[in-house]
Amino acid sequence: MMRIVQLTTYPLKSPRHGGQLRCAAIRDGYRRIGIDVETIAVMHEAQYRAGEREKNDIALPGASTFWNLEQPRFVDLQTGACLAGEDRAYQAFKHILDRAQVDAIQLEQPWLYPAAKRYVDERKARGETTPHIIYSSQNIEWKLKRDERGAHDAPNASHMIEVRKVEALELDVAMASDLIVACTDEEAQELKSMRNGSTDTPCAFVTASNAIAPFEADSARLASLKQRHGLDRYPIFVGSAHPPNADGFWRMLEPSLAFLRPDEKIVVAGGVGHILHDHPICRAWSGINEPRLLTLGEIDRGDLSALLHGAAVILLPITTGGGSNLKTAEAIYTGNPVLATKHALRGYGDAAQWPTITITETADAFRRGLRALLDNPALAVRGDAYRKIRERVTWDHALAPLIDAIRDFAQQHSVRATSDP
Amino acid sequence: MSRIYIDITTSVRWRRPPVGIVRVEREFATYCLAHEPGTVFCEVDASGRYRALHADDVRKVLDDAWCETPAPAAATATHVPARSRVQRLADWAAAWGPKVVPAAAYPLLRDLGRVLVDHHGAFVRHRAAKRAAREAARETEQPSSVTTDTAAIAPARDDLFFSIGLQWHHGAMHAYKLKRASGVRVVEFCHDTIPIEHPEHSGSAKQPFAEYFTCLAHTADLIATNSDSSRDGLHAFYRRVGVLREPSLRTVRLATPPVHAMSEAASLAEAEASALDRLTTATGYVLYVSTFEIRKNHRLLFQIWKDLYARRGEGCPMLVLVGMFGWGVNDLWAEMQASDVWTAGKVVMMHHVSDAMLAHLYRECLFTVFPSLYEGWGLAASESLAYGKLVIISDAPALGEATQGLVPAIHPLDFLRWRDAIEHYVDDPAARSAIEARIRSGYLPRGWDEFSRELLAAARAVA
Repeated sequence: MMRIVQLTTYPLKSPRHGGQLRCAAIRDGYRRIGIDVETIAVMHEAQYRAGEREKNDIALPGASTFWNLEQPRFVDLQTGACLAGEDRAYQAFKHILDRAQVDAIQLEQPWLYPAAKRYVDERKARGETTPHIIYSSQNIEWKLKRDERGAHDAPNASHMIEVRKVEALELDVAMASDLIVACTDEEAQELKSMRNGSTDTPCAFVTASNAIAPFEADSARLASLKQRHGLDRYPIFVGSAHPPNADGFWRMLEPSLAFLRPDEKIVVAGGVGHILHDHPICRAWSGINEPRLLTLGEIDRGDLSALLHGAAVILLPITTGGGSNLKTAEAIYTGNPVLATKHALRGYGDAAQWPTITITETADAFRRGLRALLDNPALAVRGDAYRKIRERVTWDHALAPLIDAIRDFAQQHSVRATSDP
Repeated sequence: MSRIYIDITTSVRWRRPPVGIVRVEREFATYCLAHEPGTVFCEVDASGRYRALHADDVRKVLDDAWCETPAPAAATATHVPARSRVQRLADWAAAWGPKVVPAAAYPLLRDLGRVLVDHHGAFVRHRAAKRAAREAARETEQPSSVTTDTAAIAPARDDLFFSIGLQWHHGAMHAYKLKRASGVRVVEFCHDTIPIEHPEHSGSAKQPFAEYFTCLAHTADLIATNSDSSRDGLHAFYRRVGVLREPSLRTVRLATPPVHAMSEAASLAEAEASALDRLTTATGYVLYVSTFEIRKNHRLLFQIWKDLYARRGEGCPMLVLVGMFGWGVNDLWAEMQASDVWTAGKVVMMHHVSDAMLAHLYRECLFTVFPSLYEGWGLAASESLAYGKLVIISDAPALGEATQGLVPAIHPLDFLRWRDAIEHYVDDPAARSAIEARIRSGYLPRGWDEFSRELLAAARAVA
């Protein structure tokens, strides 16, 4: 039986955000085909409560000198450096890997590679077998970090220095990997080109887009939510507190929400609500925008499912970022009308041609598209007749190529770890 | 034939002499009461529903007595202490503060002192105005309020619903909900877009007005505006915020304020008669009728009068400022009271002036001025023309419309041109007479009936 240790920077006990959901789905998929998977989540001790962590998870000391408070958006990069550099934490990490006798280390995002590299290098130095490296990417991270600065922030040299560190880390991981998993074909191609045709270590590539677990809505809960918030026909926007989410929303809905009637509201779920109100485009006409936003913040999964199913339109105004978006899969799966940018559909093949999806590329067309969908319910094709298409965004479908690839990988590498000469 | 509904909530609730917007609603309603039989007049109730008013109540509300209060004494330099006790205390603290409080804390204490002085000044003026209004009300028997047990209105799709008063104050959503429920054709009125175009002159009104105008766009079939300038401003706003369906915008210019028949000075209230006496001097006076607020550009006139007084001394004409206190002028008010030109009585401020007193002021002045930075219309400028008086206006577009291009217009920040023009017309009676002759022959006064007929025609023309 193949043994894999999965490295993440967030615990998978109660997955909520996109990265957690993807990693948990991959772990479940591996376990279903008989792979022995353990997860080590490594994080700053102030992140996540103890009850949210699993037995192998490692909390790094807050007093470590590896943390740079001036660069809070690079805490994941600092986490990798801290794990590799803080001896006590590294020994705990090494102990788990030794005990597990792993055949492969699967890095979920590149952050913890410095510690994995130290582990591999130490084993090499001792002439011991070394585990294979599987790089499970979620984005081209350095580009994501570059764009996180926000369109309205001033250029910042120290930010760009950190971005370059991320780019170098990603390159190192790509060069050291035996199998690379990408979310989209475009990113798989980019990761291939990072290796620049290197044949030092043969590397396989596979694309496994993001997806969701099938979910159903509770109609009684939806009715209760609509009554509580005074909703009738409403658009919904779901996003985390990731600055490009707010930026994309306002870029596609600028100059303001004046095209919505005084009693119409866009329901905003997730952490993005907090930063949506601080965006310069929102503030410029706050008198118009504030009453047309119903920001609910982080909400219960059941409430979110109900609100998604009850929405007249699901908005995907995503203009930047890599990977493929879980919110897109959720939106498609509801079968409700989706108003999206082309960028929001990356990783979902021919989704732009699906009947429930409307694609627009400019703010004017986006606003007009939303107005039309709200005014004319007849325009809104509902996806009940397209169940087959909907199934394509579930994890079972999306991870199938990865499951095949890992089987092949196990066969090619004779299950057990390779021995270095 | 479609039925006319008019929301007169503003008129019902306004129990003081009407300002411009209130007058627009009252005059239009009065016209429809006389000439459009079957018109339904209504008021919005506490639950947001429009309730029809009894015919007797409508007549009562639209009668002049509904808004009448006798004019309280005019306030002039002699009525207001130059420096209040709070101001004196703040001045003392500013002078001695650095010696008695830690240096680090002084700027904070000084700023707090300024805020206190500003607010105290506003409070004193507010208290005086309330007291005057109370005393006036005691002396007048105002009609009682209207009946509130009437039925909610139920207009049909092709009826007309006019909502042209202080709707941002009463709630623009009520008309929106009526429109959504009934489909009635709604006519709203835009009096100006100052909070949008000049937020620095509107306190914190920009955002509430942005939402108000947006609400109108989703409610109205027609938005009438008092000038092309207001119409263009509203159109530009709708483009700026991305309104997708803009209602019809149509200019319906306001009427000329009525000219009051000359009454004997003896018929004025005692305080007004004595104030008028003080103005009757050999040098004469220049009149500015306008709310005392930052947008009206009183500062320009104050600077000019300081200059005139420094050069002419007692030969300097008086500047008479008539209007209620607005906002953003506390510093200017303090400066004025501390100045030589004020203590010499060359700048005089009057408020709560009666119509009869105003008529005297217009007729007796050398000429009037209107240097406002921006206007939606400028009723007082057209009022000056109605009295046949020269008015020097700023080049704000609406003022040009209101005065029909008959009078000199100067950029509101051009101190030298304003000063030279004022001196020219003070010193040259022939020049004044020439313009007054042009006004007499060229000015076309407009009545409220004409305004009302045009508004009705514009509304009926909307599909």
